[in-house]
Amino acid sequence: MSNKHVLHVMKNEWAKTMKTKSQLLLLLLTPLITVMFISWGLDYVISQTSTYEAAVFFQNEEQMRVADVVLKDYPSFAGFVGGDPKTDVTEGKIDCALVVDDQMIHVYYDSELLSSSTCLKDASDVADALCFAFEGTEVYNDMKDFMPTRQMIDLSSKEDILETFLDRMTGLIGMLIFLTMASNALSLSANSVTGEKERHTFDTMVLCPASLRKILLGKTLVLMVEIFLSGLVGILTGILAFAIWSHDQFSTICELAGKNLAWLPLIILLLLSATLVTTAVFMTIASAFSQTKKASLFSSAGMVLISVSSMIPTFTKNEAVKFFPVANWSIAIKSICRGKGDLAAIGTGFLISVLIFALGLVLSSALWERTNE
Amino acid sequence: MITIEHLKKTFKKNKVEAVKDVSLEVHNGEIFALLGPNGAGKTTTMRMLSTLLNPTSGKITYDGKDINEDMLAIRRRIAFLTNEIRLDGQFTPDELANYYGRLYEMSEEQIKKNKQELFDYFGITEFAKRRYETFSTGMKQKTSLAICLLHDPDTIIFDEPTNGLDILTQRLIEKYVVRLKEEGKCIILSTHILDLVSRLADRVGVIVDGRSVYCGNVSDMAASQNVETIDEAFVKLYEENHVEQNIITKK
Repeated sequence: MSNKHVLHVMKNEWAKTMKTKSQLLLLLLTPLITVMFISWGLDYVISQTSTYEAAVFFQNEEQMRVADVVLKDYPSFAGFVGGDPKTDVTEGKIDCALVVDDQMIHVYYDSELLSSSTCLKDASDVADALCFAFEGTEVYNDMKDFMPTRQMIDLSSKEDILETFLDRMTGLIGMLIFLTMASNALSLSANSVTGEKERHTFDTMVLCPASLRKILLGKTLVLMVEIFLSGLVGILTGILAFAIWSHDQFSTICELAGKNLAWLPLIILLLLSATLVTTAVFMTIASAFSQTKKASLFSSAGMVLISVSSMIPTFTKNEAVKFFPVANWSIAIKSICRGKGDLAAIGTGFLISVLIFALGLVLSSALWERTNE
Repeated sequence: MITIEHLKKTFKKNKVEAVKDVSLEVHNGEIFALLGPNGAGKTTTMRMLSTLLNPTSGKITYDGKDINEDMLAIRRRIAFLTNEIRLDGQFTPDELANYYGRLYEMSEEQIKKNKQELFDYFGITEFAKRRYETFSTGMKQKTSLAICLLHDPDTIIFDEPTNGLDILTQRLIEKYVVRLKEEGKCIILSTHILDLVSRLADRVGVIVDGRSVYCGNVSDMAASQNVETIDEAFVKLYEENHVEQNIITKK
């Protein structure tokens, strides 16, 4: 019977959220607007840096065929056979040109020959030489002294594009996602738990033949779903923003992500861990007070705690960080996307978050009962 | 039958001894009025009776069963209504009745039947699909009453239920209280309106400064204090038993 009570409370709480439009809007729009705006801001800064057109000129089809494997990884460099590279560069059609002849790769920038590198014996060497030119950042190093400030040549490989995306999702945007999750948790928990006493709706509920713990569990589970949704909206907005503002690079991300979908459940597990911890922190704070004003005041400490936790990996290289929920977010996501998802660390982080959640639940119900006295 | 023996409640947080020694007896099929000046401890006593507060010491029994033995089973049998109690404003009376009915583990048929009857009596039916927050004070109080009584409790505790209501709503509630009594239910009523006590109550208990100072028939109250009316009896009981200091000061 008791599980039915939890279910009824959950249904009622969910219906309450659905009926309170301002709450629903806050839940979905906060992560959407903040993440979209910051993503736009980040891309705006990048767009202020003009990217130069670049190309690789091959002498024959054979060279281009062999080098195609390398060129695929550097989508900014278009490949041509024959043509007149020097004219193209001089006339400003192309800013940077790598010209492959029988013996060498010559690097041109604004019609200037900057360097010639790597002796080629035959066409089969082209791929390695080109790869060396890109990966060893020879091309970039050769040119950066010639370029005016705020100009760059995009030497990004597919891996680099992924890295940029990951840095964004685990850095500023990652922290923003946690911040919106925490701010939503603050207002929702204060409304759902502390608010019951303030609105004098608490007594009617407590008078029912359902224990306070079951009522609190029902409320907590719904809060958990809401916070999870808020985090999910944040992540999806981060991806959507990348698709909108960096659409030329997004196809590369999709291609890489589509290769192996094992990352999806691991990221959901990470988000779930963060949700459990956030729910536990804010439920405990909300349960300790009978005035939402006071609860909100103390909840700001919880907001700082959650947001700063996500930044811990930038302060320390300690290996233990990867086992802690929220703090392991950036490490885990990067390891997942590099195809080395550390299931043991993510799983441990999840178990720790379950323990924190259980502890939060016990503490919350004790505090809630205490404020009733 | 409800028996209260030497009930005591101290609020640790505020260091207030709200109820010092209350002993009363309430029988089935009667309206028992609980009287006392503001701050005497009536509401605290009623909150303990309704299981909302745990007594510091003393004993409450429902038909011989200690309230702490099976609190959840006791809650199925009681209803508590104060003029302060509110329901979630986003919901309609219909949704509220369904929700609370399910929490009381009532069958859907039972909910439907009781809901219909109570909504019809209190004139809520035509507002059943409107949000509670849009109601007037009187309509809110009538809805709260209907929801509280939905599970057909055998003990009903009213803490100043007609406060701030117009005369028509007051009469409607009074009539329903009498009907509940006739059905054999046990009704405890706290009020400051002594006229209401004379008209409705069978027995009365008086609390002064957290102590029960009188428990007996309404008709005997005046005579027991050698005065003409229950108003005079109440004032006399207060003057004889009131002690100025009731706050425990921190050492």
